[in-house]
Amino acid sequence: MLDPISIDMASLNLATLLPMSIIILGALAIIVIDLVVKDLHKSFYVVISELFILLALGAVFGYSGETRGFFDVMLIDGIAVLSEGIILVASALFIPLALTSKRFHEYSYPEFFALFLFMIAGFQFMVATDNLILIFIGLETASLALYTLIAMHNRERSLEAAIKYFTMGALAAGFFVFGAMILYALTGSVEIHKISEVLVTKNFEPMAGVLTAVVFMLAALGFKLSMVPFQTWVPDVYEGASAPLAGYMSVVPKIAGLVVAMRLFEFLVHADVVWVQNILWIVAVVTMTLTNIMALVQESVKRMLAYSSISHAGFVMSAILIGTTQANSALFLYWVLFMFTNLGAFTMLWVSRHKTKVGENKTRFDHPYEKFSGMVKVMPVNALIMGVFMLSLAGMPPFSLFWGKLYLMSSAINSGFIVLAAIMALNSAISVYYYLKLVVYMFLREPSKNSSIVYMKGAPIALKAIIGFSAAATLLGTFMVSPLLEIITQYVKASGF
Amino acid sequence: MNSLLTLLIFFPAAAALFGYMIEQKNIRAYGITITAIEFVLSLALWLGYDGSIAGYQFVEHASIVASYGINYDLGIDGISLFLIIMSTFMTMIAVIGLTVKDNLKNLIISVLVLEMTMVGVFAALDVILFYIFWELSLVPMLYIIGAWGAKLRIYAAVKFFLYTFAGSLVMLLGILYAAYLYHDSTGMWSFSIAAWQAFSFTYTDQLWLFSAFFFGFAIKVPMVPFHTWLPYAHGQAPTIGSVILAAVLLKMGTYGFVRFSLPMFPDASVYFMIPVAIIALIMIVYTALIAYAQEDMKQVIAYSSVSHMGVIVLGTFAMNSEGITGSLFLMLSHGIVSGALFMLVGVIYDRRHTKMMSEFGGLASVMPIYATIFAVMLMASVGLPLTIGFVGEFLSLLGFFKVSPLITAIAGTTIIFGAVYMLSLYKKSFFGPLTNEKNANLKDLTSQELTALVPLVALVVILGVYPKPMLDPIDGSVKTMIVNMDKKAVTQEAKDMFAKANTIGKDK
Amino acid sequence: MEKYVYIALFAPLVGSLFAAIFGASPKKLFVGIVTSGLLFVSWLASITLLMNVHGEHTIHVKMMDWIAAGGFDLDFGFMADQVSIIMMVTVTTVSTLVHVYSIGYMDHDKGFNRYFSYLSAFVFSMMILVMSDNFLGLFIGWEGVGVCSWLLIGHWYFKEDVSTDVNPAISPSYAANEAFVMNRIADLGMLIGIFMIYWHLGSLNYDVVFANIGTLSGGTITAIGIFLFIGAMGKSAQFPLHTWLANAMEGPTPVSALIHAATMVTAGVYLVIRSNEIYMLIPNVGYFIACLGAFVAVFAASMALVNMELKRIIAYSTLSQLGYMFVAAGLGAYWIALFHLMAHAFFKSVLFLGAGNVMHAMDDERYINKMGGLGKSMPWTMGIMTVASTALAGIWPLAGFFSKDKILETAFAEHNYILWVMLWMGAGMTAYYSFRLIMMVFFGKKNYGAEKHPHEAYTFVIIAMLPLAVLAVIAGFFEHSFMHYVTQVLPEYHPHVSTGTFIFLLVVTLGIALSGIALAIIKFSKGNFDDFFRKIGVHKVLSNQYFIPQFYADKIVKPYGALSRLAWKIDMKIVDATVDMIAGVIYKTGDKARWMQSGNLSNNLRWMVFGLVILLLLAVIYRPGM
Repeated sequence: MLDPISIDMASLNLATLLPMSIIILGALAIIVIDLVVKDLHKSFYVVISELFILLALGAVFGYSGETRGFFDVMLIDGIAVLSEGIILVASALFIPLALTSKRFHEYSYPEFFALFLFMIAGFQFMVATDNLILIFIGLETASLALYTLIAMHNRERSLEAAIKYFTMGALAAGFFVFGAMILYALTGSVEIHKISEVLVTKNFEPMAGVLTAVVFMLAALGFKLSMVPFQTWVPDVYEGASAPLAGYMSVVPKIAGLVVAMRLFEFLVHADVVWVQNILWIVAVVTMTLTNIMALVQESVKRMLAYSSISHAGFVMSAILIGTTQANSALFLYWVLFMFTNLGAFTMLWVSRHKTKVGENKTRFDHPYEKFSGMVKVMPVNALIMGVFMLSLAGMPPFSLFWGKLYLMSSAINSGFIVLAAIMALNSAISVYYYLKLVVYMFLREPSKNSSIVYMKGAPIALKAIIGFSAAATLLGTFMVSPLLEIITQYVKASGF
Repeated sequence: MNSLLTLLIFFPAAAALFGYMIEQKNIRAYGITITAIEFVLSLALWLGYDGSIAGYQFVEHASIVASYGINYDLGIDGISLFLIIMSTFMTMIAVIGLTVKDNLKNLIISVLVLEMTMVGVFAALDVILFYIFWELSLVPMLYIIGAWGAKLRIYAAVKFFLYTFAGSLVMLLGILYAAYLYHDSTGMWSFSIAAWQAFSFTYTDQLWLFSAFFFGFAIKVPMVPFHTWLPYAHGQAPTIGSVILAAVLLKMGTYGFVRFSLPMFPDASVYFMIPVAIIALIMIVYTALIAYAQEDMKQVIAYSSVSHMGVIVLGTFAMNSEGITGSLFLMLSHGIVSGALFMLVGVIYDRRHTKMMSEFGGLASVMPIYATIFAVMLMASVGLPLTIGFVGEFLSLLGFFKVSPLITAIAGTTIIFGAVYMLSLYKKSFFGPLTNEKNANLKDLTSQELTALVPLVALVVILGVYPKPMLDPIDGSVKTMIVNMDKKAVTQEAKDMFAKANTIGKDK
Repeated sequence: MEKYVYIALFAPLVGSLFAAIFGASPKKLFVGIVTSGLLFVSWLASITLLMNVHGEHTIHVKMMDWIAAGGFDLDFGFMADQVSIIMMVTVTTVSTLVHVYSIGYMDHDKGFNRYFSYLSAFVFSMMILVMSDNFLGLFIGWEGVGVCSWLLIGHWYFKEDVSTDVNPAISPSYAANEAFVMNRIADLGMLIGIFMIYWHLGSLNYDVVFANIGTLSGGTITAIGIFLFIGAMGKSAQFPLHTWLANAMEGPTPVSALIHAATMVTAGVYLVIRSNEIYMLIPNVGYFIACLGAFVAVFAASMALVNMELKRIIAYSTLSQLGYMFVAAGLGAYWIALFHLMAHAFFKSVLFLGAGNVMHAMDDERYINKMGGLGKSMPWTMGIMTVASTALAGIWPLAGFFSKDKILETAFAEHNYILWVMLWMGAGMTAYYSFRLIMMVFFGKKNYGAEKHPHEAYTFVIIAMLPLAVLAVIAGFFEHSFMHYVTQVLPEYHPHVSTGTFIFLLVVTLGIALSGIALAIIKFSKGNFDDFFRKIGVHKVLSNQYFIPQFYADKIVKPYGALSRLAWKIDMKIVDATVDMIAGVIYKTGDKARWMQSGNLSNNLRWMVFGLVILLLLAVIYRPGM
């Protein structure tokens, strides 16, 4: 006979759920409001969701040491806080972009914002637990919401993209579940820390089993992190999604995935399971290099940015296989800086978006390079800002992303991954070409005839603010690095990575 | 006045920002004013410099990334002092001589930004800071070449950018590895140049680090076979671009050798001495040959720069203060002379919109003053005694002669080959009958051009006759450097080499 | 006394700069006068020094620091000892007169002012060369005179290039460049010599170097001696670096007189004399120098035998006389070399100036076979040139006799009989070609059209020439005072031959000289003797300068051009192409990799599964470290 289940509320430690709950609350609120009052202007919803996000952000930084809660399912440690922070900030930067003066009907649906908030919650769950099931739930919530968001852009391309993304996502989910199952079979637990304990005690026997599980996990996360060869969806999906959403996708889902990967693989790396390390090495290198080279030949700036963001993801993947505190801190530092720059870049595309198309193959792309030719003559400031973003992405000092690269490469060297570091250097050398290509178009070429219709025609103050903000962050990155590094290192250390 | 260097670095940058507010038609006056002020500031540096002190002066310190030992360290010694002054001076001259009309504002602004980076490179005492300026200098130059250049400008600009960028990434690896080694043995993070110069790396590490840095520098210099970006860059760049490129940007590379390679990796420097010397030799002879084959005036001078940079590299690796001081002085003189020559080519290009020697001939009779100044610069460039060109060349060769008479003898052919291509250039374009109608009534130098060129002529003669005021501070710092190199050298070979290179008469 | 040193040195510079002010403006007579005046001042200063410097107390001045780096520390130092004073006097004497002469000669030249600026600049450089108290200072002058000769040879830069069979020198500007480059080749050798001296003795000052040169190993000294002499070979146009001198005749004739006869070309001899402390220690090198000198003496003279160009003939004769000087210097008879240098300066320069008159009178006709019978119309010139030629031929009692005879005597006394024979033949040839020239120019029938109206030069021009002519006559009588004067610093030397031999030598030498003259006069008074050389088949060789210039053109200049073009091709087609190729390959790979992005959903899914399978396979087969 079984005992009555008695739960001590304190042990639930609901505080750990606070940030997500706020977001979910916000989502529900929006739906309710929509039921009550019809056709409110999008600005209303924008502000509401913005407020909830900020609220959640506040809740996140109530952090005091590593805590578990809710039947020890939740795990709020340093990296959870950091990644939640990144996710929320990125979202906060994203939402105002809905205020574009151009009329995109997806923003006229309140559901858009509700779904968006649900997605955020999903990602938060992903990073704030080490329970594979919860990770899965978070992952799926977020993904499903994301599919819809993409689809809501409602151009045949976006629908196609959504469907592709959905189908492949389903497969990836399958991989994940399978991997989790094997792990459970091996260790009788779905909680990563327990799994690691058991495996260590069993000295990773049977190796074949462990590796199979790892492989499936790798495949699943590889999809989220768009590791080669699971990256094929990225360009199409980015092309289909609206520019800001693409930018968002290049940042938020990835950090969530990265955190999971850290939790999942690093104990293996630390327990020097050489296989994992080597495989990660190969994956990271192939990803950053191959996509880099593919980015060279793109004619569309958006596709180029898509590939480049994959390459950046591969770049930081190497942090996980290095696995030192410095490397993990580097990962977060890199991603924070990357967030500002990349979102900024995509936003620039967003504001320079226009109906009539330019360039040779008019039919294909929204953002061919030709569109930007001679920009400096027409709108010097915009050209300058975009240029800064590009140089930053290329890792040109002293712009923000350079510091990320520097710190990551040095972490690689410090733990003896000289070759890896060399490959990283080589890749930035290659990548600079396609970033430069845009700079060349903007600064060195003559403006094209119909340049009049391009560029932020009456972009609302909100967008300008966002751009200005990310531009400032990119430009003055040098001064953010030191404090950022302090905090990040402290948090990462605290959570034992 | 201890923030003088910061002032020197960021004054042009600030001025560049404000430049946007200036009325388009006044921008040139603005540019001249700013660069002139900058030049005066740099002279103040000279006044304040105390030759009697060994080590760095005007030192400034602030933290950038505290936890990782990256600091905002500035300071100069005799080695960097005159390179800074030369940069500001040549920038001023180039801006004075500026004849570009379209989009002038952007050009002036990018020149000012470029000036910031140049001063920064020479004033930085933190490796990362140095790297930042080093890289940043590419951006304005890319814009200058690519926006105001000739037909192939974009290809040239991108090639220049990618090539140097790639090279410096290798250097970055070296920097990070060096930092790691430093941290490994001292337990603290530091990128301070002074600290690294004092720290002695193991022999094998030195070899690796030397090679890594070498790539960055060699491409910048540029050393054969990494030089092919230069002809394009020069051929396509507008006059001001070529002037600054030849006068200052190339010197960053050779400065790197003196500031990093030698004092940080003395043993490796000795080990690579002869290989490097041989590359330098190839630079000298091979590019001098190519220069003779050119039909384009500007290309002749472009290739001749490579050839002269070869002599500089040779002198740098002489491991004695005769050679190193000489090479540093040669950097200055080459900066002035090649800059002047590029301006002179610019003069004729403005008039005829071609640089082909076949288009000219007999210019001496229509443009006597122009011909005279050109002749003076020509003589300086072939290293005629009592011109600025001779001092550096002589000392560099003299210095290396102690190390290897044979190599020096071959390198000495520079005075022959140099004469060959320069004189044939002069003959083709200035001598002979005035064949081409278009040249019949070209007007001689305008007052603007004279204002830009006469100071250079004056310098060429004055410093040729009395180089002492510059040689002394340079030599002082170089001597200290050599002593330190000898101190921290770990291999006996290196110590022997320093002893050999610096003794007169029988080797002990 | 020091101020005289400075005056002598800087007066020409002042003149040059003064003239330079008017460089671009049309002819100003006073420019010529002022510069000449300043040179006269310089001359006075030199004479004063000559009067006042005796024995040990030579004058030494340190003007200012020049180059100091590492152990190297050098300043502008000048000295006036007996040798440099003799040189100073010679240089200033000739150049002053040449300046005056030029006022007349360059009368109608539009580059008048420019010309005088260059000419004075040359004198300044030459003074530095002879007055410097260290090797690098000498090198300044060395290069300086090089540049000035470049400028002056190319004075008529606007003339166009013509093929070598029209004019062997192609064009003034070409000749100028040739001269400069040739000298540069030699200068490299000299520079190396200087490097060696510094690294072995730590100084370049004459007194320090000569004081310690003995401490060095024989090999080192020999090397130094050889390298310095290579420098000398360039300036003094010794074989094989001689071709530029004949072409240098493209410059205005006064320039040839001053630079390419009297002063600059003797710089090499001066260097050897100045460095006698070095060469005394290495007699074999000295002997080599002597042999080369003797060879050039004959070699050059032979080319003069048949040449038709007025100035070239004299140029070759200069070459051969330089050869004589080197013989003396090489055999250790330094003061004799110096003596011949001085004497030669006088008669050769005046000979050139005479030639200048003739060409002027004949509207710049350069070929002697297009002259003839000019004696009537220009008696003064004829007189002066005849005297000069006689001196050159070495007939008693003119200057050439004493100086040249001493050299032959030396050769004999040193038992270098081969050398002696060569020099002896050389003397004969000299006499012959000198008077062949006189005959073809001044005597015989007119070979020129009626459109030419030869006339005597301005009186002041003739007056300017007279002092030199006089010196050419009387210089010989100063032999003993000269010897006593210079041997205060130069080693004593007396050729030891018995009186009998002495008489014998005297006779045979005079004999061959006189017979040479006689041959020329007899043969050319009735027709022409050149056919004789045609008969024996050497004419072609001689008139083509032994085909050496042609050889240089085909075997050095052309290949150099080809090589340089090849290098350029390599640079573009290989070095640069490789760089672009690397970039291209990377780019192409990207293009290839596109097929992965089919954008087709099922393909994408396949890729994912493919990835999974690969990983699984790896999991099975790949097991590192366990």
